[in-house]
Amino acid sequence: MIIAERKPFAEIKAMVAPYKKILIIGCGTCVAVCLAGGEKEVGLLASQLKLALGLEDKRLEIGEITVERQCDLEFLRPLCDFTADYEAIISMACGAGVQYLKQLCYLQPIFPGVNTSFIGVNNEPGYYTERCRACNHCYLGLTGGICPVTMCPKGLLNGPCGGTIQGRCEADPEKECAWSKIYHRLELEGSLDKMRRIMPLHPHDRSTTPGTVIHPAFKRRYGAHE
Amino acid sequence: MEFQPKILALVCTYCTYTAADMAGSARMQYPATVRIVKYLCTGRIDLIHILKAFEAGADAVMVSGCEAGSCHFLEGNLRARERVEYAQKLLAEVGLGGRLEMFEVAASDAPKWVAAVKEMTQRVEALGPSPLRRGRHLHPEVVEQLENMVQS
Amino acid sequence: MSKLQKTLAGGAFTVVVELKPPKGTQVAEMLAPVGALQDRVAAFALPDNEHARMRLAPWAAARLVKDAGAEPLVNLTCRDRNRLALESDLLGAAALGLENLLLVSGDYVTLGDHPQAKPVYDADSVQLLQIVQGLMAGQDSAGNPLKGNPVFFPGAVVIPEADPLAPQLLKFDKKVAAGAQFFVTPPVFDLERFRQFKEHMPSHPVKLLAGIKVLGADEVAQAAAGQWRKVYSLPPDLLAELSGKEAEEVLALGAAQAGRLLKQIKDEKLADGVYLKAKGRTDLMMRVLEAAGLQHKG
Repeated sequence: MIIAERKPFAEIKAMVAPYKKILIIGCGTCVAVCLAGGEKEVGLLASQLKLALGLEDKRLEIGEITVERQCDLEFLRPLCDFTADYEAIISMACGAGVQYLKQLCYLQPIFPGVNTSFIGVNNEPGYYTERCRACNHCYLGLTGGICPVTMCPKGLLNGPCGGTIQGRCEADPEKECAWSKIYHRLELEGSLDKMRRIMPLHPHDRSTTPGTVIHPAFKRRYGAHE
Repeated sequence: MEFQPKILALVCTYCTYTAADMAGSARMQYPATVRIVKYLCTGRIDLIHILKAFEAGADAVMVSGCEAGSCHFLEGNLRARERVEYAQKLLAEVGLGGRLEMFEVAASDAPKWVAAVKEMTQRVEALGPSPLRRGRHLHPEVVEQLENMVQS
Repeated sequence: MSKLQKTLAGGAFTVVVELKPPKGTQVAEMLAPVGALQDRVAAFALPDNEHARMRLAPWAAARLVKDAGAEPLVNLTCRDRNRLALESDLLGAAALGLENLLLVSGDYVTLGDHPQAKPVYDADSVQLLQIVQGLMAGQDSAGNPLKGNPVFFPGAVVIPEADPLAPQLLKFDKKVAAGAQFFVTPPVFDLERFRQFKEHMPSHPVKLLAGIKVLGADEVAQAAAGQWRKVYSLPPDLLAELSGKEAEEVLALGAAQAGRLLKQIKDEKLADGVYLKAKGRTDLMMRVLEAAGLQHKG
């Protein structure tokens, strides 16, 4: 899922400083799981803003609402009428959600309430780590289920760099060297030959932004060429 | 008018509440500054409960639960401590630092409860009233709301 | 065939000395060792933004070395260039008459002096070796033909003290398969570990240059404080000898020790030559070579 972190309070406060009536819209999917932008975090941010502005003797009217997913029109459309009453919106969704919301509610300024961090996993409550760079060219079958593009900071495809120290990463000694782990996994699988092959240069054109995917069953509907 | 601190105490029924009860029946003297909300466990205390208390004009909030290792639900008090620390950060960000504290008071330790209330009262007297009070007393609705939330 | 290649092929013990390209345009200091030492060493290496710290471009520095009448060895890292830039720099190097290449992945950007820079690593060191092979065979990495093929003598790095060693050895094999003709190691201080590595090293018809380094006082202090995070280890007795001394004294003792190591590597034929890092200072390089008994080239 998408992992995000809430923006520092001072930054959010400065963004909404010019307004008297704002709406905070949470997103109930990924950012709710990683405790950054779900219903609960919307409430906390609203309360923090009220407290902070109260201390300055200012008034800010805050609406709170959380939708299932901001990256999906089905859940966004019903918001349209609702948002019209507000001068500005804080979206607590990931970058995709913020953009999609603004596409619909283009009359007011929209501010992001979180910084979108990465695609990762929920290790334990409150503890998330990155796993995928969405490179659109998956190597996991060749690398023992460890992504060299993501888990090696250099994204090396042909084995460890020269900086591994006691199985730890050169760029961050807190982390394990991805290629040491890949080697170990392939050794256990009995498929080290996969690593002996020289991997060709990575096709970066496959991840030219912005990406588009059209499901094969929908090619005709969207007029895409085969 | 002399400043009379209003402190909301969010406490666990198994330990601190019993200790406070004992302090009362033993006629121990302590400042009449706290309003107690009883929780089944401090692990039930939500961040938003704490922030709402400040929105309603509390001068301080004290959370008091069991001593480490003696939670009736094993680790509710440890979770409460994590949340209190996070709430302290959120409050510091908005400019209300120093007005939230976590205590551990065992059921038999009435004097410790008395000391905790005295400590918190002194702290609030030093800090002065919450700027959000604006002359109001602690909004009675909030206490009711919290009690309803806890019982629901 | 480059002079370095000939020297190595001839079986003579080969000394490569690393220069320090400046941060700025004053190149005189960098070039000082060239005049003083060119009759004693086979080539002068030009690191490429070493430790991810920005310095003058290695191919430009290499051309200056060549103009001064000596043999350069250009280092090229994957860190700062995508495949287009790597290839065009390689063609540029060839056009400037530079043949010797040391191809490396490159220390990660956050460890250097531009920590917010974008790390590139479009190719890794194995793929870069393949790119070099391709250019020599007359085509770029996209398969387009070249007009005029460059000639290179490509080398790579191998880490004798890598931990774990097995993936490193596997990568060593891949680098050989991708065309590396010689290998350079990080500084060697512990000859016992180096000998052990030699036992594990797969046998390939490639040349090996052992790293030799003159330690500085800051490095000694770092290691003494238990902060040492390098891919080579420092023996405790060496640390004890160098600890708590004046900066210049550390360098002098370090140079003498480096010279002894160099001599031992040469005498025991542990490597085909050495790659000497001595802070880019002529006096230290001289001391090392004198302590090793290497008065003349070869």
